[in-house]
Amino acid sequence: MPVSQNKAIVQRYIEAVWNQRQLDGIDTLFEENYTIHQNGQALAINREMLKQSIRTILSAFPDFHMALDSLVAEGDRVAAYWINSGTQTGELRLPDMPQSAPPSARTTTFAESALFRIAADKIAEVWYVSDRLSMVQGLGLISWAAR
Amino acid sequence: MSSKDNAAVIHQWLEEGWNRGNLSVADQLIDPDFVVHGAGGQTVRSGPEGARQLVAAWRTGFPDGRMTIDDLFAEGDEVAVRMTWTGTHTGNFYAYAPTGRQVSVTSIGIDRVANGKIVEGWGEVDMLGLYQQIGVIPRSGGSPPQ
Repeated sequence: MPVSQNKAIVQRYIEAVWNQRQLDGIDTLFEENYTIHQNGQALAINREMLKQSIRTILSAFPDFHMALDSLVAEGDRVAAYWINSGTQTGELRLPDMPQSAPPSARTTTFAESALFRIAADKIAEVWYVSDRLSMVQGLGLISWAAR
Repeated sequence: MSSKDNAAVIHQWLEEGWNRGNLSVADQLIDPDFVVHGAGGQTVRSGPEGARQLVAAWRTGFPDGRMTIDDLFAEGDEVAVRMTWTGTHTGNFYAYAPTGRQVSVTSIGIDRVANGKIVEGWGEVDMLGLYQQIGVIPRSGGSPPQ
């Protein structure tokens, strides 16, 4: 598989699925079941769970946008770096938040880097590291215990 | 230089600079115009001095710290690296006094290498996870699942 084709798959995930809200694109871009490693934690997920996650983000941030900055590929891997931004006009519920956050109308901007493993033209495994600190700070969702 | 040579520059910086604390290699491996984007909101000055200060901050906070290279590859002049920093918080880490806690923090970066030196870096590190592990932020702010 030429690396340009693997990069195009990642680009479609960001541009078509996220930025153009074409969630059905997930069916052709991802394996049915795959593994994500998010900020150091591994999680087995599937296409439907990914769609649900994206819907959750988009309901909290209807204007959510990813600005792709850089793509690097070799063999079956593609690394990417992009900037997320969104205005929280909907209720936000994050996985380990004790309760959901009401709409804040705040705009948050935070960078994210990821590494995708591609097998037979499908994304089969993803490692994500996002600047969650800037995200929660931007939304005013953090209390700085030590400050 | 080949992509393999460029990958070797990143490997050398991580092993010599981050893991052995031989910060003088920054003069050889970091370009005077080196700039960092991202880095979990850390302020990183440009040039070799900025790179040295970044590594020094982590090695001061976590004197037994080690950067494990989980994946490293290059395409042309760009090098991708996935890594994990593990260590014990026995020194001051930025404003935070030692807690004695063990940490494990993931990071993914892309660096551009020119003429054997790192010129520009884009990367993220999970600072929220780190601050939760050393107990200065409560475990209540999760991440958007993807």
